[in-house]
Amino acid sequence: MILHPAILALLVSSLLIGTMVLYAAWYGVRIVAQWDGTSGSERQILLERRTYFVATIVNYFLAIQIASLFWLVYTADTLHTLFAGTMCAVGTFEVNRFGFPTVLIKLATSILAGIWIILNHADNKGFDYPLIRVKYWFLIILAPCIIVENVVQWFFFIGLHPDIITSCCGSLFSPGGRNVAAEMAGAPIIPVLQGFFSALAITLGCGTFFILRRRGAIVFSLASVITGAVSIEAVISSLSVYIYELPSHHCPFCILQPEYHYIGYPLYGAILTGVICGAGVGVLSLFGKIQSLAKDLPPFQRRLAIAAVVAYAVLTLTAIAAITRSHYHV
Amino acid sequence: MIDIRNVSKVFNTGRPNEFTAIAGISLHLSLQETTVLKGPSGSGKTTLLSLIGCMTRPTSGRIFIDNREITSLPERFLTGIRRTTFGFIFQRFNLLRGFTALENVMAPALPEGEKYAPLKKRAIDILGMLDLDHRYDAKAEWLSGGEAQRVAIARALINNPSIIIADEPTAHLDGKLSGEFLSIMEILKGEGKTIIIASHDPLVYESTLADRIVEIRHGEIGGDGALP
Repeated sequence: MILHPAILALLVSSLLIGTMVLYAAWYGVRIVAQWDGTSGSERQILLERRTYFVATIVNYFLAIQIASLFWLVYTADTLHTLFAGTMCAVGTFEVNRFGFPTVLIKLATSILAGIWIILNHADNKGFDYPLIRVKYWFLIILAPCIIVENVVQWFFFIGLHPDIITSCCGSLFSPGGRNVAAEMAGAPIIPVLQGFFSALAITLGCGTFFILRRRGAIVFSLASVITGAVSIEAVISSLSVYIYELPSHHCPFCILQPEYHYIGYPLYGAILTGVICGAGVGVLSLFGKIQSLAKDLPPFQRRLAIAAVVAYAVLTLTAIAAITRSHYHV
Repeated sequence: MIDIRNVSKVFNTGRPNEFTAIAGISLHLSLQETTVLKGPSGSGKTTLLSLIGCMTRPTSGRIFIDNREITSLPERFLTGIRRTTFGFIFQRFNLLRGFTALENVMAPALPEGEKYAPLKKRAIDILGMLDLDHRYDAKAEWLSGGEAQRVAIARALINNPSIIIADEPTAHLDGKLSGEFLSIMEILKGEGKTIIIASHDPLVYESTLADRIVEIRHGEIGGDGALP
């Protein structure tokens, strides 16, 4: 293992997040099994007093979990100079077989963490803990995912040795390869861009419609999630060649480097925000009939929709700027 | 109706100094009436007032105000209820030193975000109703005992609460000032306020103000009855 401060920070934060989420999940099991809002028993009142405390702490830890996704990628990018044959974070993640699983699991848990934060916020709006069981069920499912991510991340970090020769992004994201990354990189540029901008237009349209008319939450939510996936594909197969101005370079991580003005951070930040907030609108619409949330849920959904629309608008403008300012032409 | 159902309050649970302040009290208090909680020091009167006023949570049991259960509410909802439903008059008045009488009266309303000018006018009107309009710019520490008491009453009324809670309000007052306090409470009762007073002062529980006296001893109800 390389004793780099960033690695230690990630390990410590993961340990703290894992411990807290495990405790909260254990507490969640008690809530799911024993919660009875009509009871005035000592046990029920104790659960009521603790849930606010536990949920508030978990809320902040899960926010750190989302931030740690970007921190992990930044750390991998910073460390790539230690390994022979690397150009960016891809090389670091390729050092051992736990690198990319760590990123992918952390991406999934970050999205789930974002949705839990939204559920918790909505639950706090109701005076009668309207989503208490839902949010703790969610946490009971999320906790093992975060623990698995912590374990995989641990194996990834202890398997990092400076003497290892690894692959560069050029070989992994090469259109001629036979893996998922290569297939994503090899998709035709123009059709993917057409799909990308169409998906953005549909999502922005659905979002604007929802904000103005308060209808179509599920459609907007699905559109947001699908657009997130399409956007990742568009970054790898199409936007990358405009940013690098090279027809053969499709790396999704080199765009996080200063040579490319860190353009990857606004791109990925916008995608993640769009997916989480967009998904949140749909998830909350499932609870629209709860009486204690009837007043507060619609404005909260509207704020989430605005956040998702703004995020995807930023993504659209950043993508257009990257294409129009590029010297590369298809 | 204030409905107290099997409420207990235990301090330092599970420790050697565990103390049961309220032991399974059930009580129904009518709105727009005056109830006096009577009992010796340490009997649990103040704890019960705190529970009714949402200032502390029970260890077990539930309290309903106008059919709305309040003991399970998250803190941010309790804050709103405390601010708008209850007016508190404390034994030692608890005025903020260094602030004027007017500022003390306005203080509980400031978090509501009301515009300053109408709020100030309302505070001056309430002070005027209590014959204190000439002392509104006096600092709290300059006020006499009677004036401080009336400022405390004005502060309790600033958010137009439906329930007034007073904890041993006459404990530090002489007979004349206690009489004044009871007169003011009579006026508020006439306006339809619900008044709950914890007191072991005979002047209070023997006054015509009290519609009902509930006696508390060792955290339990010892005697309870509506007055003729």
